[in-house]
Amino acid sequence: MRRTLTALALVVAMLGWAPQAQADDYTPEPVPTECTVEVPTSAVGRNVVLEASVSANSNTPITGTVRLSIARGSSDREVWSTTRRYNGSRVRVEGPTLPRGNYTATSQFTSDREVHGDCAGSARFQVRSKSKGGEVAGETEGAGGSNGSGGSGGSVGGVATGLPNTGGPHLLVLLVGLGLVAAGGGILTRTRRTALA
Amino acid sequence: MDRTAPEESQVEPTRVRRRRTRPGGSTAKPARSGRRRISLWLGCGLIAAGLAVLGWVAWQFWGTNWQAHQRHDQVTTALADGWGDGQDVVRTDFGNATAILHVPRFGKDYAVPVLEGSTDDVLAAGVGHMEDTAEAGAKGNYVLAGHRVTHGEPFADLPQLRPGDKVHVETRDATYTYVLDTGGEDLIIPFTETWVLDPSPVNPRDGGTQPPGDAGSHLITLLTCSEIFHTDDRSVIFGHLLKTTPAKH
Repeated sequence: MRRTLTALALVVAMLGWAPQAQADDYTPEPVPTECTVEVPTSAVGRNVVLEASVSANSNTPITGTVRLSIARGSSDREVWSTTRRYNGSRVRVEGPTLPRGNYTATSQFTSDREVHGDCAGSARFQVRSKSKGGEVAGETEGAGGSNGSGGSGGSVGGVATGLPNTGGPHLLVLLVGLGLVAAGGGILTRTRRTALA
Repeated sequence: MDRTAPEESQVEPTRVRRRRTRPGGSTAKPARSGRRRISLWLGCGLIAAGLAVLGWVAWQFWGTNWQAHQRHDQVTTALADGWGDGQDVVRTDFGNATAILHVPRFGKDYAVPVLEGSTDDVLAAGVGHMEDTAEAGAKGNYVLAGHRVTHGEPFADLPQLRPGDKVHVETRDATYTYVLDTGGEDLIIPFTETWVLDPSPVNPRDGGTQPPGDAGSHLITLLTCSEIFHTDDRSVIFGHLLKTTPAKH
């Protein structure tokens, strides 16, 4: 009995000396989010309509801001942009009417809460005349996110026309042609002079 | 003779020296000729590439005009035939034709077919009637777009138009005469400003050129590029319907 009591006292004493457990500095990684932007098919001559949504494998409502933009081709040359609140449901925005050509629609989501990461998504689309192509399906393209986010992609449709291109070729093309001829002529002249020397 | 002999002997060493340099140059010569050959081909290649590019530019400025004028004739003939058969809209290889545009300031013989839409094919065969804008003579804004350069350049002289100039749009049923309210150089806008396509265009800029308040509700808008080479800017002219002359069938 005395031996048991001694052992029990020893255990209690050891527990008393043991340091208290401290809370770890660990902060959970933000849940990756995925941005999707779509350009639904619209009638010719109408404004481009963009639809953006954000999804994540989380029960917490996704809230934040979404910046939507349209650039010509695949460049950074923006022709239009807007920023809207995102409260967990799909955002539908009416954009400008655009002339025929290739464009890239981009959505960038910035989360209100640390629990969700930010993300970006883009989708390429073509604006074509209805009389030529009717409703035209666009290409899709995924884009990487940031801050723990996942990539994303979007599907698209054809859109509207604006003021058509009624001009001539780029001046740069003419200059390039002249430059190539001049450069070639220069090289030939120099080669000939070297040969004669 | 004795004097000439030493002179000849003086010449000899120089010949020997030249010969001595040749063995050294025998390895450099192929390298030099190889480099020369590369330069020759490079120069020829660059000239060929440059000529190809210039040829394409020449085709754009002259070839497409020749081609487009052929198409104008084809579409105009098809229109006349179709109208004779009772069709208002005539289907052609380049699009649906509906009217013929006459602009007296561009010449007594100026007659360019108007096709529906603004695709490349349409604009290469005449003037395009922009989608979702009013029909000729109807209430709203009848918007026509045409090339200023290349592809027949129907609006090459658009900047020369002045307020008061008349534009006739001949359809199967009637000829609509519009009078211009603005000149060819009064309004230049970026291609993104599509307010000019609205049924009642209003310039969002304070004091900007726009149809006059008393222009009525039957408008015409002509647009083309503002420069000869590719540009993002468009020249725009507004006008309104002056009279309608029914066609004599």
